[in-house]
Amino acid sequence: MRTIPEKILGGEVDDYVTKSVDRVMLHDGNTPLIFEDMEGEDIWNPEKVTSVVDHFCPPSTTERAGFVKRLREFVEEKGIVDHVEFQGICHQIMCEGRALPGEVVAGIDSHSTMYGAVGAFGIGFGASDTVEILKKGETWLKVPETVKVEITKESTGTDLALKMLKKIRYDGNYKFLEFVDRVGLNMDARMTISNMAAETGAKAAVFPPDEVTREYLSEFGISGDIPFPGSSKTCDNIRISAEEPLIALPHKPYNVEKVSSVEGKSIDQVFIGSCASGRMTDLRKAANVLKGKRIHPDVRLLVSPASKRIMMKALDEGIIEELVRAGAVILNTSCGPCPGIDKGLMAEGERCLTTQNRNYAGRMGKGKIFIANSEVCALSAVQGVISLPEGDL
Amino acid sequence: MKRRARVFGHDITLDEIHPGSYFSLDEDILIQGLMEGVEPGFHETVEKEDIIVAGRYFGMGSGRESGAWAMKLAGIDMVVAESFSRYMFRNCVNNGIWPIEFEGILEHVSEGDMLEIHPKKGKMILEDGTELTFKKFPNWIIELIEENKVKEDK
Repeated sequence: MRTIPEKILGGEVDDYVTKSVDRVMLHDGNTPLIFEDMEGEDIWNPEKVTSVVDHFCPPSTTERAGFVKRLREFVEEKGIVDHVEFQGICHQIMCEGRALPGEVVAGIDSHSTMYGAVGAFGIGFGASDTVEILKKGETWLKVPETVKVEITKESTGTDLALKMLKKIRYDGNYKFLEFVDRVGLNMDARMTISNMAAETGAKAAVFPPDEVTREYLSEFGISGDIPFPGSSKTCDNIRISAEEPLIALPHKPYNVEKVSSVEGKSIDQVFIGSCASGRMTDLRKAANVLKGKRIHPDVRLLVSPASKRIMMKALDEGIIEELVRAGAVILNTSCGPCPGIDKGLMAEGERCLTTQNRNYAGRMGKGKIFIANSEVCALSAVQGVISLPEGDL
Repeated sequence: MKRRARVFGHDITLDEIHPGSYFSLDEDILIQGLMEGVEPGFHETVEKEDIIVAGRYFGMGSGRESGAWAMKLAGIDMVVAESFSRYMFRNCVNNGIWPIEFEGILEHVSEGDMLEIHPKKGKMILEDGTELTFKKFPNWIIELIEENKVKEDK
């Protein structure tokens, strides 16, 4: 029996193969690096390309405004039809009916592993690789070893992801993570986990499609048979569960401890959002905590839903109003403060608690970043210090 | 030719190698960001043909190629690390930079050591004259690196 990567990519583990891609994702953050190399070049199939403006969204410098303008022109020149501007974070956009089970999707971004939540083999690439992919519709890949990650107890997507990072650290580098979901997590949690799998270095990270996938895709009018090559043969197996809320301490996402170990530490900023955890499940939990309360005067709370679709749902459910009443600043749907590009940076010495995927030094300005689930984030925004919610996860 | 080693530790991420706030197509801004997240001011002390030496998992996290671009602009065309993230490996290859894997390199090299490296031969001569060997690159990777080095030098 062969592994999922062997079936999808062909060849055997450690072989170099040339593989065609089914779809490509471009975003304004990295695509400016390819404009020059793509001059005069045709895209192998422009219908298979999605272009998203989410990083410089809206742009904060004239140079970046120029990138967005140039991307618009690029899309026009190359015949790309699917251009999505200021409507959501690229990975969320791709998971809203674009990336499909069994497809190989090349993204110009490291969190492209997220498409694994819907059963797609999402792989991130740098700019030069993306140029070759756009020209030829294929690239070289090393067939990765598979590690099964078995989820044995229900918890939030963030806590399960943090537990995974604590266990695997960077040893997912070059590997394929195949999730074995024993508890039937919802799609929001699966997206958080497959997104943050990028932090292990994994090439791709897939939840083999099941009823949850089918039901989710039907929301986008996708139905019928879901083609997917089954499960992998026996391989390394890691079990994850989270008994209590966890937190990643600066400056590594795998630097994970129990929230209780840092309770009481003061914070300056809280950010709920990003492609890792800016979805309805995350926003509902935050709104539940914040309903009828006010955030601490020394804390600024920034919230950014991961897509317009999510923003609309949150408006319909009254979540946005509750958050604003509690003192939150609602940012437009975008990468927002997470990559430290267009808004929400920290001054030297400040601390931010966030639902995002990365807490590396140099990210989000000069401060220190702590990662936790949205409920811990919301409660901590009220208390002004890192706080542990009562009761079960 | 002997070249100066600039040594970093384990798990140096792309956000440290090139913080997102230095993302630009302006070459001066790109260079200023090089290693700014781990050694502020590095761009002022780096010299053409310095060799970056690092520990495990060099370049984890983001796949932003601006990191490899900044190295290239600074005149770096060799990085020796115990291991590379898959993004950093590919971005180096695509920018004509040799991503040389060498288990335990940090035990052999200190900041400022002068090294002689022959990437195609898989051979390295340390400051004290000790000769070490590393696994050679497959020919098609060597071709890619050389092709990309020429392309970038144009």
